[in-house]
Amino acid sequence: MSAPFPRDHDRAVEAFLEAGPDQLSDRVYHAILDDLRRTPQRGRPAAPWRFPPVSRSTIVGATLAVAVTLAGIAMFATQPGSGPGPSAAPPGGATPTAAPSVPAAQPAIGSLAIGSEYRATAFARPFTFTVPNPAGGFAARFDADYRFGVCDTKAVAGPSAQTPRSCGVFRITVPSGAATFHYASTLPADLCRPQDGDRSQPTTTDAVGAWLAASTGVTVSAPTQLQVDGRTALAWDVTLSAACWSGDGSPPGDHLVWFNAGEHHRVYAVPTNGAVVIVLTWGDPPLGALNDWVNRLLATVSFE
Amino acid sequence: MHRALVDRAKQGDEDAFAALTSATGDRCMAIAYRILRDVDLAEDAVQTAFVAAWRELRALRDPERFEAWLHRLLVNACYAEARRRQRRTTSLFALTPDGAFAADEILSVNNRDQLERGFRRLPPEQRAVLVFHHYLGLTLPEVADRLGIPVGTAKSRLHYASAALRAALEADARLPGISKERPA
Repeated sequence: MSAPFPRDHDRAVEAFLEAGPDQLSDRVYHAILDDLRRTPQRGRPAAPWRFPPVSRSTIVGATLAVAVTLAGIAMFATQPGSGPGPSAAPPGGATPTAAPSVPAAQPAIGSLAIGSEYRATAFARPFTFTVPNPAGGFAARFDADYRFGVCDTKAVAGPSAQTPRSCGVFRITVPSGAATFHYASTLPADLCRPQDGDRSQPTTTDAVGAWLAASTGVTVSAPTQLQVDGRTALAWDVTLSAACWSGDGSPPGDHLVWFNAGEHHRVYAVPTNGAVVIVLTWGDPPLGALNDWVNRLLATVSFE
Repeated sequence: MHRALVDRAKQGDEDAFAALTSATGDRCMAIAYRILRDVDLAEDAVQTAFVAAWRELRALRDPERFEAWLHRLLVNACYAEARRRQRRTTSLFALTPDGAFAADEILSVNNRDQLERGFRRLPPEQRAVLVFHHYLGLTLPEVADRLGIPVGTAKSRLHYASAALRAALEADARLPGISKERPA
């Protein structure tokens, strides 16, 4: 046996690389399509959050539903003796759909009924929460389309996994943005420079504050306190300077989330038994209504 | 070719993105496998890359560069999978389809074995350069552009990777026989 002559090395490498599979299996193809449905598209840097993809048929259906509802209201209002009564819709135009009276079984993805209680059992730190009424600033559009996903992208079982991977990210999508819950996630070591390295999720509220304070190019507000499940949680509003990461695609690293230059977020550190769940808000500024909604949601959270 | 589909997908059209996945998935799988040398890891990397592409698609400024941009996401996903591959001990040869090498008459089985072992010793960054240059047939400036690295870096990585593979083959020539039990 002899090695190829030097001039044949390139041919040898090419022949070596030529061998091997060159087709994507149907199983992986369909797994990708399944992932799309629970993965919202991020917006451009100037608009850091976009609504999750909504199919054309959904939009048409929602438009028809609104039209029918408005027509019904108009007919009702024109009848003699009619008027607002005890069954009037709640403020903000949001009408609860058929709400389950007990915590709903957790499907992989679905819509949230305002006022209903859900159990996020697939999250690594399971918790129960009640969906707040959107009164306080949300637009009424898509009010029946509050979505949630039990796992975010990388937490979903991979095509080769025999069992689901740890579900360290839980996302609730609402009309003006989203809130993500993180437990034992990998995060950027420096929020401003996610391309420079990762770190494990801080495990105390103070450590979360120290992580934020140590991030360069990030303006961090003084923490505010709120009660979550009988414990004191902290929240900071952060703004990323123009010098922070902004580029096509994902910055290198294993972190599941990162922020872009110019974005505003609220970061919550929610203590649980021996650990901290980090909650992030994502939305187009101003974030007041979204942050208020998340505050009210967190007030209903109970960890199991 | 994909411009219209990319434009539609950027507006959230899942069907358009599915068509893009169908059109580009095979090439991505081929690239990922050749970098990672493991079908399971390659499939994970491809899935990660496509989901990242969907999530970040609105940040893609030039739809004409979709595939190049996707390949960069794919390579980053391969790097991440390579870092996690320590937990896997799967044999390459058990994963290679039967007859995959039948048409390859340049390499003997033992040469291929040595190349495989040499290749698996390379850092994933050097493997990527080899794959883009020798498998995809890209020039070094094109490789650099596709991987988002300077041309000099691409050239250096190719040099070191080629030298390592050449050394693997030459070492094989000096050996009286091949020990398949040698650790990769």
